[in-house]
Amino acid sequence: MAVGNISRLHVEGTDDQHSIIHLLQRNGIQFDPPPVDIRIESNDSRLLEAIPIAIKAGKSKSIGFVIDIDTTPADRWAAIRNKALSISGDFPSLKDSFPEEPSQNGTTLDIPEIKNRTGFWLMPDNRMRGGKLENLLDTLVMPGDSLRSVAEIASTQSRLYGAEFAPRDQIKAALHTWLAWQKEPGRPYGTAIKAKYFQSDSPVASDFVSWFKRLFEIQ
Amino acid sequence: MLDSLTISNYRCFREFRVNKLARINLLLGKNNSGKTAILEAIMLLATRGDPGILFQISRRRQDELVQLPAIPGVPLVDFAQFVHGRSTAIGESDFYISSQPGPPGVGFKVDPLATGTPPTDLRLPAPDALLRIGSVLDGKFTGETFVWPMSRSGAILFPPNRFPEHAQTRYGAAQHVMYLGPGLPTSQELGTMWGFLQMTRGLEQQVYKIVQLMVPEIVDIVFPPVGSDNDFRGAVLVGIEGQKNRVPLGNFGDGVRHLLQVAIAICSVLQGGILLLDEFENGLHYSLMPRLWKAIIQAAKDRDIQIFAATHSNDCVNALAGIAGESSDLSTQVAAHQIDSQLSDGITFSGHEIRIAVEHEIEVR
Repeated sequence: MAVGNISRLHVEGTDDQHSIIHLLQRNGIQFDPPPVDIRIESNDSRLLEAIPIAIKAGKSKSIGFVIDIDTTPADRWAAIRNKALSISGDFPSLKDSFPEEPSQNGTTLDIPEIKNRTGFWLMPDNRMRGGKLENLLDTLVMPGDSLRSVAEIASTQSRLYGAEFAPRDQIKAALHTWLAWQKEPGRPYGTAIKAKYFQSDSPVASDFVSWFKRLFEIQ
Repeated sequence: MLDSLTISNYRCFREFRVNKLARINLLLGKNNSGKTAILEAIMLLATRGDPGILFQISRRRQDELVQLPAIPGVPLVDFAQFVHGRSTAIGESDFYISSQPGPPGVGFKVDPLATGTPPTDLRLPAPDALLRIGSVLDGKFTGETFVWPMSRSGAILFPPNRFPEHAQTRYGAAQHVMYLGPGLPTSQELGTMWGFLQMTRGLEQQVYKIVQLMVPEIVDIVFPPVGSDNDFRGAVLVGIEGQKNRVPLGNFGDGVRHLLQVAIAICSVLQGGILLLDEFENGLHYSLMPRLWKAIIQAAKDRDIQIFAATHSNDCVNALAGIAGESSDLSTQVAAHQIDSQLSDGITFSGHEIRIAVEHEIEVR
């Protein structure tokens, strides 16, 4: 259901939504009521498609987008930039204000024509080739956690025994394996963050939280 | 068809443009965002500044008519309501409305009495200012202008019905622009419009064609005689294919009644004209919207009419999104414009963008 006047964050999937909500809550942001509507798009193409329309409809609001880098930051940013500039006819300030490259701590920009603030976060850290949500979550595993190393080894080994996940999904396999060995086995990311299996304050995670607060003007 | 509309100094708008107009234009925005003011501005532009329209607009807004003690019982128009900032200073109080493509824009300006000779009526006090109305280009009057009597240094307009040669615009015979709003036209007026349409056989058939888009079995429509005070819903009778007796239109529900009003209005507007709809779909069940709008779009295309519809309705936006999704031709026929007098331009969503917005549950109203 379309939510009236509330600001909105568009994310790529349920994992992103739950992880973000719990990470923000662990960092002191209240979600009762939610400060922002977090909208799940079914995949990255759908999220990209929504960008120009969400910004146009974002008068007097903040609108954010969290998307996995997946390929290279340059390619991902080029796709985002194209979408945003497609409405520069309506909002000429975008031609000058839309950055050529993503900011390392998350991009925010103001569109004065409609009193809007728009922001982009490329998972995990706005710069990692092939990066995704899991890379950010991995920074929240306690350094030196031996189960995490064993999960990595086991995931690598599993491919010798016929495991079918693609190499680029190794980190997903390893993290879910690691979660399978926690006190309550098999918790999904969001509740695992809540249960403090994950920490909440790696430098990347803190940057993300700061970006979120800056974008949505939360103290 | 208009591509864009520019409004200067009218009501809540200091300087405002609506761009990329389509055949069907939804006007969206909060209450008091200026949606109705935009419809009024189009009306004034399309009638080339008919002062009777200023009077009609005031009557619609109900509480904006005033009286002079010298002529009690005569409703007069307070001109200040139309001017941004409510100024009536002679020589400074003005507003302008224009469009691309032409014709030229139309301007309204309060001028000193000495600058013209207004029509007079001995039953009314002598005017002490003039309202100058005419075509404008770049904020200046071009060609002949016409002047209208005002009182109280430009505060008050004299009523047009006192000057028979400037008869107030009424619902009735075909016009270039027509307005449908809450309670307007009345069922009497609608019956009169239907009467005029019946005098042109082709137009009567076109109304049936439009109504048949929703209820294919309706073959004729009969209004009660003008002067009877029956309720519209009960009294209008329709003939059904294969049935001997006519049945009340009300039997078919609200959707057809709304469509009939719009069909009569569309056929009463001259080809190439403009139809203004002001929250006309209030109270209609959401399931009727897609069929209703498809019928309206088809009729508008057939008669080359441009439609501006002010609405709050999510169902309306959803219906148009669905229609835009059905074909790229239909998608190019519609646009939605967010109106906010605090900004300088409307925020326009094409048919394609409306569809994406609805799919992603992005609120555009």
